[in-house]
Amino acid sequence: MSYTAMALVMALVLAAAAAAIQQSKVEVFYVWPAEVDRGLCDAITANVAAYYSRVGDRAAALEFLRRNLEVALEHNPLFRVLGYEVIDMTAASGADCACVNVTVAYDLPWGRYVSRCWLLAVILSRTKVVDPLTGEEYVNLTVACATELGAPVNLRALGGARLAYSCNSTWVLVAPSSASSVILEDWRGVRIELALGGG
Amino acid sequence: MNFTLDACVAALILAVALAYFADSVAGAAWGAREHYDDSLVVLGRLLRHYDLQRAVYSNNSALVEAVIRAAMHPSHEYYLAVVDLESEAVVLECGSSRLSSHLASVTLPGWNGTLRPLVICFRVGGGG
Repeated sequence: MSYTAMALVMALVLAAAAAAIQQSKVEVFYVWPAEVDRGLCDAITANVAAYYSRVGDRAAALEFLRRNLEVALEHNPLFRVLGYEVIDMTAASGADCACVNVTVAYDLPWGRYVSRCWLLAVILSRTKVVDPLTGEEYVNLTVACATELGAPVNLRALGGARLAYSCNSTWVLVAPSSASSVILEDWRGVRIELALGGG
Repeated sequence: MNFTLDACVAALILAVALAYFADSVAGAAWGAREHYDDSLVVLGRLLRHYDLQRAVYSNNSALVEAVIRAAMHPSHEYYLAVVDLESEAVVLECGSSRLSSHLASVTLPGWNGTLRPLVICFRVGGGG
């Protein structure tokens, strides 16, 4: 075998390697990463949890989840959901705690991803305060809140209640005792209802 | 004489092939340095903490800027545009429009218990 023939074979190998390297460089930019799948699934679950916490109807929330997935699949061509399963969809409200939990398992091309969205509030103390000037009675609640990401980024009280952050995921809620309950909403729009009177 | 000519041609072919290979490897390595992270990966990470959705759906460009800056290296630039699918209009635009890296786009179906699809177009790259 002549030197030229050997050089041609080696040149072909080098050209193939160079083409493979260039191709991999292009793929870095256009691959649909699993992180976006997770982000989209979490966004959908949080949207459904916000809807479910307001409506309280499981059947309507399941339909809302289906519509969300339909829109996401239609407008994100590389987002593929092979199937999904609602593992938990509950909203509970007791004398001293309230919780909303939506957990959905999505079957994606790279595996199963379980997306959670929950908000939990526990009443640590409940005291009645009377305004000495007006004589109006208020309920002062110390509430601990948690989500799947830790403490809520932001929390607000709906209605006539006032809410202030204290420390260590604890909020102080002051509401007129004439109200039977107060609604708390986190930064994702997930709502829970706390009873003011207690058990 | 034949052997000499054969060796010269072989050396020439090898030199050209090696130069082409080195150029490809150098180009790939340089491209990887230009973009420290894939725009879609950054976008996915931002979506998982819900702050970006809150900022985008409230049309708050200052909050968008704060959320993205908190997740990026200070020397890098970004560009973000939000398109409302119903009105087909750009509702929010911020960041540097000088970037020429790959523009990633993700459509969110809704936020805060609503169905209102918004397209988030996002790119990151080294600052100029």
